[in-house]
Amino acid sequence: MRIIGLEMAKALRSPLVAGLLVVFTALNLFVMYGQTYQREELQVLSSLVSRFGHDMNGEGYERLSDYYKSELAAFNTIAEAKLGRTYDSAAEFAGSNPQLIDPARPFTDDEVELTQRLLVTERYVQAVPELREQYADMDMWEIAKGMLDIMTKPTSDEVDRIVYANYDKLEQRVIALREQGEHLHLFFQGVVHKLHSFLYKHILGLMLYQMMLLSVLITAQIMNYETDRNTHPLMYATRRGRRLQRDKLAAALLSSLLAAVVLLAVNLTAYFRLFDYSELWQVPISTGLMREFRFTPYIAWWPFRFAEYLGAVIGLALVLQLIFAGLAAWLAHYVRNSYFVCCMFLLLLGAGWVVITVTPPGSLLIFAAYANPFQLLWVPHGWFMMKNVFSTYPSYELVTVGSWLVIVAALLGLARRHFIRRDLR
Amino acid sequence: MLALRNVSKYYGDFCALKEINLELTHGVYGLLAPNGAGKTTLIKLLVTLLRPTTGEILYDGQPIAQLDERYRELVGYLPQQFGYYKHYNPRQYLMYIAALKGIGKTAAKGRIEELLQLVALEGAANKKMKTFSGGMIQRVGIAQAMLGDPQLLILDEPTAGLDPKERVRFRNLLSELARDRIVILSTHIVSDVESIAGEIIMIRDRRILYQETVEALCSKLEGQVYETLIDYEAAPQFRRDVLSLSEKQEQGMLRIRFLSTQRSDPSWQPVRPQLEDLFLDVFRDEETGGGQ
Repeated sequence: MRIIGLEMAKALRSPLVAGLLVVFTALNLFVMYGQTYQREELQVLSSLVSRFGHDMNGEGYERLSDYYKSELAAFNTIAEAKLGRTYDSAAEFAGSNPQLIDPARPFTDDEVELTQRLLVTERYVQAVPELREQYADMDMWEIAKGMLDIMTKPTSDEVDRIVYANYDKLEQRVIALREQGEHLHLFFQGVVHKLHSFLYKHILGLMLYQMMLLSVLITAQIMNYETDRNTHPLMYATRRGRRLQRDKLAAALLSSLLAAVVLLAVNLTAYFRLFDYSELWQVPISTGLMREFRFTPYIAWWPFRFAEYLGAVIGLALVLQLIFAGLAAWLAHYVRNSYFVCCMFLLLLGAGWVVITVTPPGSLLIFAAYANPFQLLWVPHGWFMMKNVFSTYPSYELVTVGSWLVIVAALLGLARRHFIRRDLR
Repeated sequence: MLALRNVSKYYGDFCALKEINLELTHGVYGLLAPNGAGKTTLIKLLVTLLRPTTGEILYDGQPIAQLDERYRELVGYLPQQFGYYKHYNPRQYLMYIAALKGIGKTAAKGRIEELLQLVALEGAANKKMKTFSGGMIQRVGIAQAMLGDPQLLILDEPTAGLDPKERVRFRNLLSELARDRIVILSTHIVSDVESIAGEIIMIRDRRILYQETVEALCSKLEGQVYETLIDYEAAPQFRRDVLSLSEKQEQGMLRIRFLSTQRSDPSWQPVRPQLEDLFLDVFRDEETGGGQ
């Protein structure tokens, strides 16, 4: 353990790693700040949830509707006094009156605030029945068919059969979701704020690349530390001998995880301080309000709450770092220069991305092509959810990381055997 | 006892060492050979960085490959090109190597202080090694080789970069250490081993040529080494007739030390052969220098 600690220190003390952590965090904060203009509106939802709860399946929705009606009535009293008329909805008022943004508006600041709050409340009140209707009509078979139909290259009957079977499973999940009313929970409205994709695709997605880069750099640096400095004849001739390579691997994996945890902890803490999710941790991740486009709902295979889903995504992200670090360690066994290891890894990344385009969709291999860790980087906002036809099945993430953990372990095992036997010149 | 039995090393078709047989007990062994003779290959075989293609290396009768870390914990090794961590100070660097040698933290701390004092680096113990001179780096290398009280000390060109005073101190230290352990000193500086080596191992054409004491080796040239004073004008012809071993200016003439099987001129003064004379004689047609 002492040697592992000393090996970890070699990478973690490196100014490059510390510098990258700072630069990445600065970049992520910059991206986050770009969305802070939404915070006031988001706060309206948080206050609604704190008063009425997030479950809109029964009493909660009735109480929210009653509150909305009373607020609309209060608004109409003001509107009648100032404009001489009333409105059926806040949207009708906003659509025909620019007064809210006019400096010479006839409303006081409190009245403007009431109106804005009413506009937001109204959106949620109106969204719930619409969602109930949309989810009642949702047909997974039709979605699968639509996705297969728009493919430029034809699939085979065998592939179609598997896809439809997977979407049948999804249909069962949707039925259960409807029964549980998971889709009718308040959350930041996806069609307006797009916060699910912002958090998981833009922030976590960006961090996935950052963590991957850190993992590869750290691993290459630790594994090739001796050859880079010409100290290998000395170090591998000590009592520890070639077992040092095993210590280095453990140190590389642990350091990669540590760097990832630090990056995630700092950036997610910043994110949740900027955007208040305090009332929403228990909201089902499959709620209809999460959807950002009408035909692409976020339907998770399991009834995750927001906090559970976030935990699962973080867990998967960390396992991915182990795979990336393992692949970099494998490369470092054969490529004796840290920077070349990084270049070779980029080639692997490219191969992992293009493999789906060169695999014929009519072949069953298309499922294997999608089940690679580099494909997971594209869709962090869809992890554990319905996504591409070839990656929509409950065990997709598990199969992908599980099989690649085995592949990486086997590659490392072979590399180790080779290293034990080879001459160190 | 360290023994090599019919050890050969091939890289593909290239033979780096052929049928090496050696037996080493306590004492200093000087390994002398020109470039490309297989000196560093032999050393790397002894420290398990290379594996013999054929034959075996035994320590106290057991193959070192089987002994594995039980063998390596007995070995102190200074490679020819001693790599180091630029951003570490000697104390940190030695602590790391101590960990690799399986020395506990507390024991290592005490021993490192002793060694730093021994190699006169106690004043620079907290300075980053990137600021060190070649000699200082070499002294760190010597200190690390001696960490863990090795029974087998293998030093490849250890005096490179040391000043004359440090070199003498180092030689004395090795003589002291060699009382109860094996010290293998690979060098192209004959004077480094001549005074302290119990036996000299010479490698030529990838085989062991000699494994004998300095006296026994020098006696091979008994009656063949002479000195004389000649004119500078006569020097070119003289060099063609005999093997010149060393030359220096004296009284406006050239004092030349040379090798000849016959005393062709009574003015030639017979002198006592030295190890360097034999080295130059043995490797007269090969390039001499610091290892391969």
